[in-house]
Order: sequence, then structure tokens, then C-alpha cells
Amino acid sequence: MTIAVCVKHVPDPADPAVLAADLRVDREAAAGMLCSLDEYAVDRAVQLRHPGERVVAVTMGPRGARAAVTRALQMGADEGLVITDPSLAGADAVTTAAVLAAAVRSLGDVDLVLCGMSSTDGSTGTVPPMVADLLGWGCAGHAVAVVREAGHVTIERDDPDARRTLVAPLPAVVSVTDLSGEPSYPSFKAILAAKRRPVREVSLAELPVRTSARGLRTVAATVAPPRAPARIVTDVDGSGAHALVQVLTDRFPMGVS
Amino acid sequence: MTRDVVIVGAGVEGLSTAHALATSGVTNVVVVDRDAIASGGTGRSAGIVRCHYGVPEIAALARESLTVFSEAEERLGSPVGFEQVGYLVGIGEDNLAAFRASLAAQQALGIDTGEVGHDVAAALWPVAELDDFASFAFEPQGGYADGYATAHAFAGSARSLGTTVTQGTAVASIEVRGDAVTGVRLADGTGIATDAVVVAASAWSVPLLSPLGIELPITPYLVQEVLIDPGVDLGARPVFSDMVSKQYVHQRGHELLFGDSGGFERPIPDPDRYPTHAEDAAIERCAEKALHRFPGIADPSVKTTSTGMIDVTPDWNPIISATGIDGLFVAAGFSGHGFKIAPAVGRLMADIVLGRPSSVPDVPTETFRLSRYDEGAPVLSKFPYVGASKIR
Repeated sequence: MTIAVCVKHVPDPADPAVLAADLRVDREAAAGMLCSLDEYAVDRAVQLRHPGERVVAVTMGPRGARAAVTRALQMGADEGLVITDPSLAGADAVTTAAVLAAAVRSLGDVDLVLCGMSSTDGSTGTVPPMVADLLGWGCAGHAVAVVREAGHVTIERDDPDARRTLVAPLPAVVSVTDLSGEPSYPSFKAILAAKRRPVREVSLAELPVRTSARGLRTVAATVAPPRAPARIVTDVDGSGAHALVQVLTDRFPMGVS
Repeated sequence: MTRDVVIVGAGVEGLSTAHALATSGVTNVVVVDRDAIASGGTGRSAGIVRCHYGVPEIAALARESLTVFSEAEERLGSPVGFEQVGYLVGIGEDNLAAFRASLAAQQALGIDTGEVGHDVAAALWPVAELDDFASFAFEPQGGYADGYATAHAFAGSARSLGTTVTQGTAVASIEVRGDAVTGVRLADGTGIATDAVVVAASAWSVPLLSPLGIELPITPYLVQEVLIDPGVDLGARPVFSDMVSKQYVHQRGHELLFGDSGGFERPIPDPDRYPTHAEDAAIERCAEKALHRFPGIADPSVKTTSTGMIDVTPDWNPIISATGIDGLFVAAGFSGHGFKIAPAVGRLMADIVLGRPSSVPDVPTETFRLSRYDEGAPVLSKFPYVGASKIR
């Protein structure tokens, strides 16, 4: 059996975004990383793996996206699959889901697909349900806990009104949130072991999918204006606390509940 | 506004200079920083304190500074986070002769250091593999301090003497008439009149001086460090310079900070743009070295990583100097090893600004002059180590 975990290589959110001429983020210029929300999915996948099973980290992206898979291998994934193709540059969520679904299908014996709840760059959160739909499987989203049993998967989800327990027959797609348990940092031994694990790089032609990147197109992008300078409350012999309370009550006249 | 001295850069070098000027009675001084105290290299420094240097003047600056780190509360009025856990350096067979000659030179300067055997080193670092070292030296007074706290301690002490520290204020240009400084122009358009400016702004010093025809030979380099979780309580261990695997290690809380001294620092085009976390290659290098050196740590893991920019000169030693322009001074280009010498650098810079002989024993004022590069007289280690980075 295989657990596939879909991961994304994203620009480091700590770095300022650099926009290319076509108004998309210049991913070659940005220092990339495994999307931090996907780390939870990788960690869950590794923990849900039974003896004899494999976890395959799957990503779609430019060449540099391989680094996200490398990180997943360091975190304990067994294999990597990178779909990289010039024709996919600028692919939107619909295309991404089609490619990932085809990639999952190409792995053969997939029992469970794990995803992060969203990417930290595009932030649509739509890929996991679309992958599920394209595979014809169920999707259990935003899990804070995942239990995998014979034939089905059970998740806990914290909705605004209630905590829900959902059961989906396997195979299924599950997305996990950042409340599903802190991913462990890779050990040095795991980092070195990851170098020996196989990563397959395939082009679009090698996948059973017909798609194109012609989806959403950015037509305008403006840099957010700089924030107004902070107001500094100067403390003079203990007056600071009162002044600060005044600032807050002016700002929130109804009180803060 | 008129000031006796304007210091550009509220890092540890600029603030130490302000403090030294203030203790000399020069208090009509402002330190301006585009961001905040210790917001550049100072706050990111590993903070290692040791005197093991093959450049006698650097060793002497470190020796003088050690006193300030040890007595920070008395001298500066606040602690600098100095953990005096000692400093252990291990050397390979290929560098043994240079190592012993360097130790003799350090001892001649009055530095508390000495060669120790494998038994002593093993007691200091029981989890380490030591067989591939030829020998060791131990400085019992070494350790590590906190760059951020040190900068604030200098700032606080200087302020209490009357110095002003202005944060969030960028200097747009240094104003010169004829061959003499007349002031600085700030980014908001206002100016400060002065006849003395000390530029202590790391790699950002370069664009401030180039419009004046002074090209500082400083290149920004990226440095990457890895903090590991040893998974076990190691107790307080000395800072360890591993000159065989080319790495330095010290504890920071329950974590171990690993830095590479194998010359993997690399130049970057823009001192403000570099990755915020270590690259995979750096982490893998660290993993290989750490697993080799510390077999007693069963399963170390990455806790986090950090990166920083260092301002590197051609000889990897600082520029602490007057310039061809009257009243314009530079304290920059510390090349990744400015923290441990900063307290004495401030004194040396103040001496240069005030036109008096050096008050730092064994360090003449002209040692780190800018003109040495044009003269073909770089400051180099008298006892270089094969394969080591140049900051020894």
C-alpha cells in the first residue's frame, strides 16, 4: 500500500515577494521551502504508515520544487515524485489538482492521500477536494486528528459550532490542519538517509492527464502601501499605562469582548 | 542640531565606540541607526568569546574585551549574557606546529590559554569523538555572550553618560566640504552638523562612503548556522572550535549551535537579501560533521536554523581607521568576528577619533588602517592553519 502526500514548494513567507514581469511571484528569485502547512501532512503520513508500506511525496512545480520533496524525505517519506514541465508554469489550482490526481493514479496502490489544508502562497485550499473529486474518492478536510483503519479513515474536525467526527471509505483524500500535531524536526540521521531515497522526475507527457496551464491569469498586482508609522506612547513617571489604555479605548470604543 | 560626533550604526561596534567616547567625556554624540539597536549582524552573532588568534593585535583586542565581558555589570551597568564556560579548540596533525607557535604568542600577550591533552578534552566534551585531533588548547575564561544584550548594555551606559541613540533613522548621505566632514543628511531630509562621523554600518557602510570617492573593500557574505536538539542534557560544555572537521559548536540553552568554519560562506550581491533559513546543503554538511564528531549524542535533530550577513574584507580583518577625509572614520568589515573584540574596538576607534595614542595595549592605532589594502600590507595571521577560515 502507498500513502501519497501532496506537497508544495513555496516562497519563504519571511522574504519579500518578488513579482516577475507577468505579475506572478518570481519563484526562481525567491528562496523556496516546503510549505509549512504541508509539513503536518508529511508528518501524519509517516505516522500512519504501516510496516511494509511506503509514503510517496508528490509535488508539481519548477525544477527547484524538488527541494520540497527532499524535505519530505528528510521528515520520513520513502520516495519522491516531482512533476515538472515548462507547460505547467503558472498553473492554477484546477490544473494543479488534475496533475496531482494523475500522479496519484500513476502510483497504483494508493490507499490514502494526505494534503496540507492550504498552501501558504496561493492559499486557495481547494486542491485537496478537487484531487478527491478527480479520483472519484471521498474527501475529509481540515482534520485535527486522523485514524486509519482497515477500509476507512476517521477524522476529527473542529468546526465553528462543533467538533465533528467524519468517516470516509478508503481510498480517500484527507487534508490536515496545523492543529493536527507539531511535525517533528528531522534528525541528522534522517537528513543523511534522505539522500539515498529515490526521487523520480517526470514530465507532463508521462502522466495520464490532459490539461494545460491556461487557467487563472493575474491582470493586476500592486504592492501594499507601507503602514502608517506606529504611535509611540512615551512613559513619563508612570503615565504610560493610562495613556495606553486611552489609546485602546479610543480605538475600541465599544470595549473589547 | 550640532554634535561633536555622529556614529552611523547602532551595532555593537558603533555603540562600543559611543561608550568609549562618553567615558572620555565626549558625550555630545548621537548614534543613528536605520533600524534598531543590534538589528544587523550584532543581534545574529553566535557571540563566541575567545582569544585564540594568530593576528597578535586581534588577540590583544579580544584579551582586552574579555575583561569587559567578565565585568559587564560593574563596567556597563547591565549584564551581557556572558556564559563563561571556557573555550576548547582542537587541532589536527597538519596544523600542530602553527598551533603551538600561536599559543606561545598568545601566552606572551598574557592570554590565559594552554595546550591540553585528550584526557582533559574528553572530560570537557565527553560525547565527542577526539581521536582525529593531534592536540587541544583550552581558554578557561572564554565562552559566549549575547550580542543583543551587549549592544544594549553599551547603549544604556553611553546614554546614562549623555549620549543619544536614535533608532529608525537612516542616514542618506555624509556631507563634506573640501576635504572635511560637515555633517550627515538623514533620510527625512533633516541634517546633523558635525565635524566627526564614524561609519560603523557593516556592509551598509560601502554605499555611504562611495559617493565621497572612498571605496571600502567590503563584500557581504552569507553565513548559515544550524541549531540542533541533542535530545539529552549535556550539562554546561565549553565552546568547541573543531579545526579538523572545521566547525564551531556552542550551547544555547538546551540547544547546540553549529557553525561551519570550512570556508562555505559565500558572497551575496545585496546585504539585505539572503535566505532566512539555512540551505539544504548547509544542513547536510552540518549533519555529517556533527554525527562524526559527536557519536555520544544518539539522535541529534535540527531544531532550527539561522542565517546572517557578514561584512568581509580582503584579509578578513576589520577596518578601524581614519580616511582621506578629515573627520571621517570607519569601523566596519569585521568579517564575521567582530563581536568578541567589540569592547576594545570601541576604545581604539575613540582613540583614533580623538587623535590620541592607542589606549589598547599591543594594538597601535594604525594596525587596521584602510590604506593597508592599497599598500599591499594586509593584516594576516602569523600562524595560518591549513584549510581553516581566515578568522583565526
